Amino acid sequence: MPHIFNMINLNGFSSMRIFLTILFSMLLLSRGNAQNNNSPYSLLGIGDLEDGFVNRTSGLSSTGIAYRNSRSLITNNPASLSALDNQWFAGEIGIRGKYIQYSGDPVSSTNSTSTDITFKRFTIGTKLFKHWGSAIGIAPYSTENYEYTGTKPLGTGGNLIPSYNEGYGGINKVFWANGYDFFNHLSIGITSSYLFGAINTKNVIQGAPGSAIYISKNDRTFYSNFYFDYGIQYYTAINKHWDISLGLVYANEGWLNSDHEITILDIDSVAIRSKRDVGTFTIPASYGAGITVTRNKKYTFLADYRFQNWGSLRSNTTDFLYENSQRASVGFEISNKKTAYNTRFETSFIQAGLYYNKSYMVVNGKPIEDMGVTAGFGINAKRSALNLNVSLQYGIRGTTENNLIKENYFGASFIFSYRDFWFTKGRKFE
Amino acid sequence: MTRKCILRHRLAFYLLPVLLLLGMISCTKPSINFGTDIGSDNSTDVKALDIFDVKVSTVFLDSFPTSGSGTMLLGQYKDPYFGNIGARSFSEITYPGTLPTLTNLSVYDSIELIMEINKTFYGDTSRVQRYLVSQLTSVLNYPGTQTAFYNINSIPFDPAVLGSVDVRINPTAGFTSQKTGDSVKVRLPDTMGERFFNLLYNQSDTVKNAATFRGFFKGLAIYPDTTMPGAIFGFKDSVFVRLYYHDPGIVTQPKFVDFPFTNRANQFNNIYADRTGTPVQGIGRQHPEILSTASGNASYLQPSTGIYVKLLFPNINSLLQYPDYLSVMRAELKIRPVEGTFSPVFDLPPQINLTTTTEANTLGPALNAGTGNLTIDYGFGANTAYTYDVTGYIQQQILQGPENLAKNGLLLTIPANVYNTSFNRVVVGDQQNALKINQISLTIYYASYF
Repeated sequence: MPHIFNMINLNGFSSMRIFLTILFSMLLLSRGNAQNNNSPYSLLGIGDLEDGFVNRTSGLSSTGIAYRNSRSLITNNPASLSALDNQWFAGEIGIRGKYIQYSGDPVSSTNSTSTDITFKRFTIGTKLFKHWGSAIGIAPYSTENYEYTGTKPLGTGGNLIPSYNEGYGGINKVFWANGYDFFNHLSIGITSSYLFGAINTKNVIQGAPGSAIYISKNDRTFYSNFYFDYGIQYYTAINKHWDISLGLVYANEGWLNSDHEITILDIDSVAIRSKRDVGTFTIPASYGAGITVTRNKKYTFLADYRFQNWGSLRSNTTDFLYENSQRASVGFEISNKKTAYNTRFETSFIQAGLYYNKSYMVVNGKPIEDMGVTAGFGINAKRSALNLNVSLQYGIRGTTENNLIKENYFGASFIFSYRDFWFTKGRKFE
Repeated sequence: MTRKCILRHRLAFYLLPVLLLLGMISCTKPSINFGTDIGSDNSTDVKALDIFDVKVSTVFLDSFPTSGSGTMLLGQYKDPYFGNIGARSFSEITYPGTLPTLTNLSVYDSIELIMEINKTFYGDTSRVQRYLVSQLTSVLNYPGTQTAFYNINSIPFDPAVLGSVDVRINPTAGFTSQKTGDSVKVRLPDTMGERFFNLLYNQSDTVKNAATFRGFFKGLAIYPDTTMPGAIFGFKDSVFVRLYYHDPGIVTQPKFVDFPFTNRANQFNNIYADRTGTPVQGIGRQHPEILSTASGNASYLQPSTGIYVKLLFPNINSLLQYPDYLSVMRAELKIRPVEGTFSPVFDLPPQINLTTTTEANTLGPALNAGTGNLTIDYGFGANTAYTYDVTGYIQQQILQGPENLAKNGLLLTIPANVYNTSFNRVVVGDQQNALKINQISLTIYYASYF
């Protein structure tokens, strides 16, 4: 079989090169490319939380608390990592492009759409031991990205002055997730993360429209701390046709250390005041539960519910209030498998999902809701170590009521994964 | 080679969707304007303060030129706040441009002075006005080193009145009780008319040479009867004398010849004010400034009689000491005429400018702060105000020390094209004025650190 070995080596090598090319180009892209999407709702707290995992579950509306998969690095619940195939090594890159159409009174009629593409995830994982799956990676935890103009009361006499607000930045998450399988039916997982990143906001107020008098207030807050979340899955076959899996995730209340610096500039150039202080930002406890049932190892039905206790936080503005966030989603997947060399492996899959997310904020008295549908497919290349998973998403966030903004968005996520033997290639023919 | 091709191919396959997405990316963020609805928890607050002192005073400025203004001001009126105000005019006429051919049969008829109203006025126009005309006893030469005639100048004239007229003028409709359109005619004595007639008949040098004519007839003083106050009216400066005669024939042909107005630059108005009994009666050269607190918590502006209102902001620099002070975002000055001191008869100046001034009341550059956007509210008075955006000025002034702030301030002026012909005036309430609606206010909006 030297011939086959040769082929694998060749393809393995070139696939790795492609994978790394994609990785580095995405990293460069995400650094060099300004984010164009405008999410005014991200101005509260630490910004928009990234609750959609760009991974195998993207096409399932990120439904995956009870989902187990042998090929993909799924960190929705760290307990699922114990399902990875032994002896395999995998790397995944997730990127997402998003097109948003904004509507509502505050939105300009001539400039109301935007598109951007962002790097969402890089993970590598493997089975460290027979029952122990492990993955490390980096992903955004939250992003803040907005820009809007408005007016601000000038004293109490009813006069208004122009104001301009922008915010950008976000918190990244470097994580190490582990799942350990007990008795082939129970898996326990933990994700240890380090969260870090800066959020910058800038507010400019102007003496009058077109005036050369303006004051800008630049806030930069650097957040960092460790963060842990836990998961458990129970899985078993019900009968010859049906398998079931139940999952729970939990994260206790944590906090981020914040290093906050304010600089006030006159006419955007002369610093007139600056102040630095440290504090904390609370990340409330979160809970989630999921169920997955599979028929004939081909058809999978999934459902998730997640809850986070944001209502315990107090906002320092009356325009925005915190409330508990809730997210419910369902998914369905058809997995096509094939048997070769005495092993059953997946050749492709298709997915669909629905989600409803009541976010953690109430703006102008309106809770901000987000809902949508997803669809996805994946192809596992026969001769290459490189696989592609594409998922599409259409959703609606927000409302046009109470002078708010509704976002109709279309997203496309691409997950490139590289998968090869770990340590030794010879095991493939075991 | 083959390997490279495969690689390039496959890379393209994987990156194609990404590249497509990249192509869709626009360069700008969508524009969003939330109006006042959504503040941001990190925006800078703006606070308003109107606690800074505005020191108001009436100042007397030296005389100002009134010659060559194109306007004759005639009349006198009584203003309860500004006193008895009057104006008289001095002007020259000359010989006719074309001399008529008079024969020994030509007969002199009459002579009169004709002047035309320009429809401006100040005071009570319902009263009958009496205008008197006298002949100057001295030519119109600028006194001393002056290059113009000033409001306080006067030229000696013969107390013997050449002629007078009683007339009621409706300036807005443009007619007078003489029913001769917008003209006012003053009959002059026949002795004068016959003398002029003889000069024309004799083709005398006097009616051929300007200097000679000027020596013969030095000019006209036209002035109101001070016992009959009513209004000051504006007239066109082109006053002239018309001589009527006729040549005999089967049908009598009435004819006339005009002695026209000349030397426009020399025409000037003498304006006088008797402020006895008014709150600012003591003001004058000897006593050029009266604080508002010494004149009924108000100050008095009437540039045509030489009195102005001066504003000082002696303690605005204390804003710099506020711990949260960042920057002045806007400053607004509101000047409020005292309720009841103005009326359609005693009108407010429609425009008031702000001009920088020093302790010696030397005028500096005018502020580019507009003319006040006067709103008049006769009903309740509360909304009558001149409003100015003085942001730039206040930003400079807060950096000044208290010594400078005690000296340098703003003078209220009226636009240059009307300042010496308009009698519109205003009584400005100070911060101590008994009624809030009369009080001048300076509101400073500053960006606050807290």
